[in-house]
Amino acid sequence: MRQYIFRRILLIIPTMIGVTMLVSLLTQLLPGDFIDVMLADHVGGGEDKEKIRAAWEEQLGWNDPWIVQYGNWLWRALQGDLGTSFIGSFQTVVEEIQHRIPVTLQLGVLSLIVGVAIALPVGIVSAIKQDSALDYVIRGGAILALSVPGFWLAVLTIRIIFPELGVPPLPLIYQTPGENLAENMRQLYVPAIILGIGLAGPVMRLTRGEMLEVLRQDYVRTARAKGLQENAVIVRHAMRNALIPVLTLIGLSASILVGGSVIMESIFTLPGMGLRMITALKDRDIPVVMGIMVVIALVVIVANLVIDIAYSLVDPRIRYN
Amino acid sequence: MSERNYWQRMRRRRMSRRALLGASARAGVGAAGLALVGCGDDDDDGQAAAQVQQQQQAMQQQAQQQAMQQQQQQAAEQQAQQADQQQAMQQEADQQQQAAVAAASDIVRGGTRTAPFVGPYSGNPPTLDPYENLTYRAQIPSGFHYSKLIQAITGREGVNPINLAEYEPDLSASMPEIPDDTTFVFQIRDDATWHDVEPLNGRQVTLDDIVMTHDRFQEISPNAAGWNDVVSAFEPGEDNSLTFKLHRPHAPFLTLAGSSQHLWVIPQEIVDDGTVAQRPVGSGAWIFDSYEPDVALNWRRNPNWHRSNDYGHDLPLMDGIVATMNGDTNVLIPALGEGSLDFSQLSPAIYKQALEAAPQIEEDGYVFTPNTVPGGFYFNFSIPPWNDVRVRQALSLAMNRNDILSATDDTGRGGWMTGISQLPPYWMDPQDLDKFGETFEGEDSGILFHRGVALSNDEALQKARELLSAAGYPEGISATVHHTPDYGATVVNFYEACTLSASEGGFQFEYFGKEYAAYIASIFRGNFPDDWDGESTHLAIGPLYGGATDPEDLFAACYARTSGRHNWGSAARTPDNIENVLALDTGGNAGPENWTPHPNAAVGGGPETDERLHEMFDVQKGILDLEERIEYINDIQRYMATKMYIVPYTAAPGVYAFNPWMKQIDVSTGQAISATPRIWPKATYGWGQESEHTFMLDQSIKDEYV
Repeated sequence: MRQYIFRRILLIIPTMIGVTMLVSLLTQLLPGDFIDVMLADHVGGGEDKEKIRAAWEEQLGWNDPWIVQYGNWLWRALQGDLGTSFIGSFQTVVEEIQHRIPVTLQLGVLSLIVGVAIALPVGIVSAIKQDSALDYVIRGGAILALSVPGFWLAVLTIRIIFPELGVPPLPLIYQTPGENLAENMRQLYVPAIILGIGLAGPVMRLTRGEMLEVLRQDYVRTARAKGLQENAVIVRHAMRNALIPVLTLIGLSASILVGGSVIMESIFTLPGMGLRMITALKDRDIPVVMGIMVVIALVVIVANLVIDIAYSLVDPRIRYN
Repeated sequence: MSERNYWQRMRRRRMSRRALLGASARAGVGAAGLALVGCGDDDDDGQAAAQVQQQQQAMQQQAQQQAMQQQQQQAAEQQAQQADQQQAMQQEADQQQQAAVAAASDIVRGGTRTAPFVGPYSGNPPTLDPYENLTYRAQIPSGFHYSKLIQAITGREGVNPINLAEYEPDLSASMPEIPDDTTFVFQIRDDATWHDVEPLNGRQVTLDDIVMTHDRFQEISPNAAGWNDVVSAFEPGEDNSLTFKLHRPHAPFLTLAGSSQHLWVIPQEIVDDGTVAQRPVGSGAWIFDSYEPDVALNWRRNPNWHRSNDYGHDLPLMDGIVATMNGDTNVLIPALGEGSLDFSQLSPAIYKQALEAAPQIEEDGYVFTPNTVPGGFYFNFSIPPWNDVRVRQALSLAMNRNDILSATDDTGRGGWMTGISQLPPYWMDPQDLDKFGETFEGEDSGILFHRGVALSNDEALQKARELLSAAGYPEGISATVHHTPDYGATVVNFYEACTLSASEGGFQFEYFGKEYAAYIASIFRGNFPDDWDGESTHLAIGPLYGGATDPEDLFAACYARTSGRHNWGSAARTPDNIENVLALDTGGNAGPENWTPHPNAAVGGGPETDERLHEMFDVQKGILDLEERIEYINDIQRYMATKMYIVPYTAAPGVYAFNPWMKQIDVSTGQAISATPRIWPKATYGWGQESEHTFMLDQSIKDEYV
């Protein structure tokens, strides 16, 4: 097991190099750059503009071939220096990420809790009550949760549901839990529920399917035949096996929540990494884009590793050599 | 120039009064002298002579006494007049004081207003250094914390909030003296201080600060080249004065000096310590607190603001400013309705939604401003069919501007624009055909706007088809229109309305959107890459310039040969280098080494070869009489309409919604401004922050609603 984990950790290095190289290459292919953004309203003559551009390019080392630029970035990144934002905050990328990642993680964790809290019990109940009216309602709800876009639900909530119910508007200025926990939660609960609902749909369907399959297994029949109570059969025997693929899905969803909450962060004014990624891409603030991509890639890789390790804990039959 | 005329008139009037007083005194003495001369005699008898001498002495004494009496009488009259004047002034001052005292009970201080940075167009400033980037997102924050020599007049009952030609002193102690048409002398005030924060710690703003900021402006601002085209010399004087010498008379010089894209006065200390782009320290009404990208910009009140002295009120009234960055209308509208936003800029397409969501905002809570951003279809004139004026005229005729407005403008206050948009007071409305004229010098002009109005739909469309046929396109024209969707969904809807309208006249357009950075890097500068949409059709739609305060800004930025902007401005376009220009225009955006002439390139249809146009641009800036200049610029608009170098779309108004607890005071009386439109700004890149020192937030009213 230790060897396996060690090998997987070692594998992170070439994976990260591959990811960052690809992202760096793709950013080179984007039309326009941050100098264009900075000079968008330039009124002077073309010569002046070209002079300014040349000076900036020289300063940023953009005259070097791409592979040299990437190599320089990688060397600095290995020393913990991901660069400095070209425009906007002018913070170092590490500072930006340190500042933003708690917001995204908080939203992601809350969404995950909401999603799992809905999906697991509902999926299990749906399986136990297969083909009942309740099952049909739950399955319909799951399809709805899968198909309704989160941004639409968010806008519906803000523009129609809340005003109709007289719910006060959500805060426009983000406050950390340390600054004001109540305001922090007031700003986060709606996007967390919406993201959680989106996550709950597929997890619930998978849970139901896996539970149905497990409930038909011989060992479940045996457990029942031994006279075990139904709760014990479900929780101790069926659920434990049924949850293995569900864990995979939850793990993958966790990584999506880290990078994929862009729209929610934008609508609900949450200064997380997703929102920063979008503004950085628009402004061609490449150091920030690279930095955030590094974090997202790391989260995905680590999440997969953790899930793989969790398999062996949940299912003793799984052993890694 | 209106200010200049005003000051000259004032000087003339003062001189006349002095001359009158002097003349009357001289007349008194002269009359006494004449009396003496008139009494003279040539008798030489001694006694008689003595008698005569005595008589003369007596008469002289009498005359002297009379003269003295007259002088005393005059002095007494003058004293009486002075006393009367003093009494009148005292009465006036008392009345003002009483009014101020009475009004003081209406003035409410305190509170921090929260509003989106730029309404639905909010977004992160790329920098807080206004010299580094000219986008509105970099310029607007500057109006809170920096000062200029002069600024637009704001916060006065009766002063038109959209008149861009009226200015008042800021760091200058008074409006400049203008000894001749090319010299402007500013006297720098001695009571201005920098904000009381590190590293300035409240030290005095000096002439040296302004000199250094000017040097830095020259060094890095993209606007320095345009400034130097106007200003030949910048001379600090011994007496705290600052003299600007111009190359030649330049009518909009005060507009240039007061514009929010030029001389922001920035202390050298924050340049030296490298914090100018992220932690500005200025001498303006508000002290910069913090900026968190994607969240908000924050300022707090400057308790030592120099202009409080001018007004006699302790300004600014509010304690702080929060400018939020979320421009999503789905967030703005309910937040405005629920009162978590104190006010907001809106887009005309969401005006009705705001009315429903915020019923507490009554009619006078909405402020509408003219559209000062020119825009429309624009072209690469090197490529057929756009180098043929008939095609562009047909496109204008094909657009039913009133239909476009009814589909996209909820306010019902939108209008038409010309090549200078609706820039007051120079804009001339093409709807007023009697004034604009159907033709200009025999060419179709105003009539080209009038589909569905002066021309029936059928007449206009028929005429458009005839023009297209004459240009060699009897089947109409199919083309791809480049644009960026990053100005927002409502703007894209507007573009689509323009396209639908044009399609009835034979123009079949498809849209090709590119995100902002890519659009700015290519289309906006006149490079239409073929690899984006097959062979580019070299056509685009969008706004051309956002920060104009004078037509000269637009002429220099959008239409001049030397402009660095958009389609016909990617290089200096003098006639002798037109071949190079074509090469730059037509080969894509890969880099100068890859630019090659387009196979269909043609010469002569665009503004770069229009000598008449450039001559008119040159003449207008030298006309110092405001009315005469307006007339001449009207002619430029008529002429540009004949050529349709851009085919203007419609002009939706700027819309601002203020919750009932947001008010503005008149700085001269201290009373709340009641006239509508009462609050908002000069329609510049300032967007109104230059008037926020006169805003007040009445918490007691807010508590009733929120």
